[in-house]
Amino acid sequence: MKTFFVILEDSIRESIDRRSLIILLFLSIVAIVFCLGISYQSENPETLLARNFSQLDRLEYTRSAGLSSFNMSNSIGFEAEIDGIRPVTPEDGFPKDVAHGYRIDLTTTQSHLNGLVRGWRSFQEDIERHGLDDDEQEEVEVPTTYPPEDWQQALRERIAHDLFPHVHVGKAQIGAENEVKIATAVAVNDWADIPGAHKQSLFFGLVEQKVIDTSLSEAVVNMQRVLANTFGGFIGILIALGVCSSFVPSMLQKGTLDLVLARPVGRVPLLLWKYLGGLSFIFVFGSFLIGGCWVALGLRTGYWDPMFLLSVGVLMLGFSFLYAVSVTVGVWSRSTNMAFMVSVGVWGISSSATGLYRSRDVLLKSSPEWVKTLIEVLYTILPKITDLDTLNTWLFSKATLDPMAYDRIMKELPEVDWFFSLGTSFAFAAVVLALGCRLFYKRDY
Amino acid sequence: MTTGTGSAISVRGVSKQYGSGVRGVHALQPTDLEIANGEIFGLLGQNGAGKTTLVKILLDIVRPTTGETSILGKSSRHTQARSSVGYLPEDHRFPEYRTAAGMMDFYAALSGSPKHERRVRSGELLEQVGLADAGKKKIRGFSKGMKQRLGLAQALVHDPQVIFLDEPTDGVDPKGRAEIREVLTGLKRQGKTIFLNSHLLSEVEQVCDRVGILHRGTLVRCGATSELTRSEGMFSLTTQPEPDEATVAAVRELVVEVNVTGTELEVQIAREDDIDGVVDLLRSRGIGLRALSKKRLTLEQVFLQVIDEKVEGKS
Ligand SMILES: Nc1ncnc2c1ncn2[C@@H]1O[C@H](COP(=O)(O)OP(=O)(O)O)[C@@H](O)[C@H]1O
Ligand SMILES: [Mg+2]
Repeated sequence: MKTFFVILEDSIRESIDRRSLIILLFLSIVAIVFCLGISYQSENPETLLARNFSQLDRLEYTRSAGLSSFNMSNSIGFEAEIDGIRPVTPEDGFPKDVAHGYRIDLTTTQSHLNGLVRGWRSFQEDIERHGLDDDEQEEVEVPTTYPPEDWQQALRERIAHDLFPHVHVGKAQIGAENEVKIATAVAVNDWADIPGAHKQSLFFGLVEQKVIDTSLSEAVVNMQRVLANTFGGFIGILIALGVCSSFVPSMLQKGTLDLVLARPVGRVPLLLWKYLGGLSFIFVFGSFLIGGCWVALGLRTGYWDPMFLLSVGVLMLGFSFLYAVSVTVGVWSRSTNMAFMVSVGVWGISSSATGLYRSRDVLLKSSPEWVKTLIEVLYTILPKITDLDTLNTWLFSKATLDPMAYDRIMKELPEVDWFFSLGTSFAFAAVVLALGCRLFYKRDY
Repeated sequence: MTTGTGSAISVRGVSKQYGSGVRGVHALQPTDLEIANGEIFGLLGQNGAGKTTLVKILLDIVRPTTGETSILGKSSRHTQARSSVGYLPEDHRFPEYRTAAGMMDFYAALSGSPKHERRVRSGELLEQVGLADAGKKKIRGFSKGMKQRLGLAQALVHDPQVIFLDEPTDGVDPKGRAEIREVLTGLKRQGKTIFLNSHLLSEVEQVCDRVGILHRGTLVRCGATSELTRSEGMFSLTTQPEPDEATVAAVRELVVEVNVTGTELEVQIAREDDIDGVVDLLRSRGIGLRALSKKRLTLEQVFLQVIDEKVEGKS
């Protein structure tokens, strides 16, 4: 164990000498300062509700097809005027769950309400079909009018959709000339979970305040995803691979290795310590980046999400799979460039294989059989680095999002068999590292 | 720890072939060698003779094709065999990002030397090899000679019992060489065992108790330095005055061969007693004797002789 710290210290000195650790710390500071520069301000409830209720007509949703997803926007042909927005009072006699919310009085027409029911139902059917096999749908007779109970239900579901989980829709009061008045109420007990409820400004107010169309909690999760998956999991791992790929080849240099091998340290432990040295390197970097951003985000948003800290571990996982490749290729070729390029290559190939395999029904539909087999083999043996982004997203969403937003994000993520994904990735790293150890152990230097 | 007896280094039937097939290189033929505790052993040989290969096998840096080696009774294949071993590789290259002192500390730590001890020792050693001022400087700026001295210092930093030095004076100026020799004799006084690889014969001659000559992977000669350089039946005499031509001719009758340079006579005789006849002859002719000694060969002469024999033997 002592030997480990001696070797680790040496590796860290080496990376400090190359200025590479500095680059990574600088990158982290940029991310942390960016987080510190964000601020959120909640919108005035009346403005928010007015905006949301005037947009009930538009339905936006995401539909995924293969690797890509489309943002769809549908109009369901509903219009209503807002007569007034005010806090719910006990005299309103509304149910408990909206008792501390807001009352919104709407005026609309019967035909608009009929349109709403029709539009809403067909939207739901569309969602259930996942937009596939459109042509096979048999035409059904669509009624033109619906009873007031249907209006009520459709309006309640529409308002609840992506917006307010707690909604009360009062009885429709049919007036003259087709006109209908409806009293609705929504609970806004968790302001942070309501989409569009916050204005965001960036860079310490340099970039102006803008209403964001996600909820605050979703914005925080998105931010965490960018930090953990893009900054840490992509840029960070890439740079760390570049830095750490030199550890083994530089130790193996002619004239340098002899000095170490003549010491009472076994070759296999020596190589494994070097490997762990690389992991400690990413741990130091990851802790600094994630820890710093955690504090900054916590200060700016009030979300102190411990799951975000776990992403340091996820970062190390991803790096550990790839660094095994780098170490082994480093032993084999004694070249830093080779070690770096091959490990990045494996990363690229594994990510493509994972993506292609997951969407094989769409993307590989007309490919020859051998391509399908190749992709399947690659997918099975290579580490599944991209799944770790999914893992992070899942962790962050679980911790921070309200159930509605959580479900929405989960629908966008691929389904992952974690036992298989992590198991095969670990197996890959272990086999590759064992090969490296064997090679290092057997060679004459 | 040091007993002064027993074998510090043992090589039994070791041979090495690098690679295989036609492109394989037979670097070492089966070799046996024992080096006692406290001995300074010099391994001589031309470039490519296999000296480095033998040392690397002892240190488990290269694996032998056949045979076994051990250091202080422990097989070289065991990590612990290297716990009391110092090594100065030829063409060593230090990590340039460290200071001299930092690097000494790193290697001492790898050898399991405790923190306090290694700090003290590395300071002492850097001073001993004349690098006291350079301790805090990055190795990047060191000259070849400085690196060589540093190499010697790192080999000794954990106070090893057995020290392997592969061409330690390579690239070192004459003054530096003298200093290194001094360090070596100091180590011998402490009872350390030293295995010295060199192609510089005078160096080896000056410090080594025992010498082996390696030629094309074969250990062709091995013995005490004094034994190897002793030459049977060679005497050198200093006379006063210079012997005249007639005297030289008379001496030539008595001996196998004679060479004269001024007052110096070098005679080769068949039997040891014959030298008395030569002395009597000179005295009877009124030529005084100022010195008489058994002539020794230089190691270089021995070496060249061995190589010549081998080359002739082959052709
Ligand atoms: N790693 C190696 N691979 C192949 N051949 C080698 C290797 N190391 C040494 N040799 C060859 O083995 C022979 C002995 O080399 P070496 O032990 O370095 O000799 P010396 O130290 O006496 O100069 C040389 O012919 C050399 O070319
Ligand atoms: Mg050599």
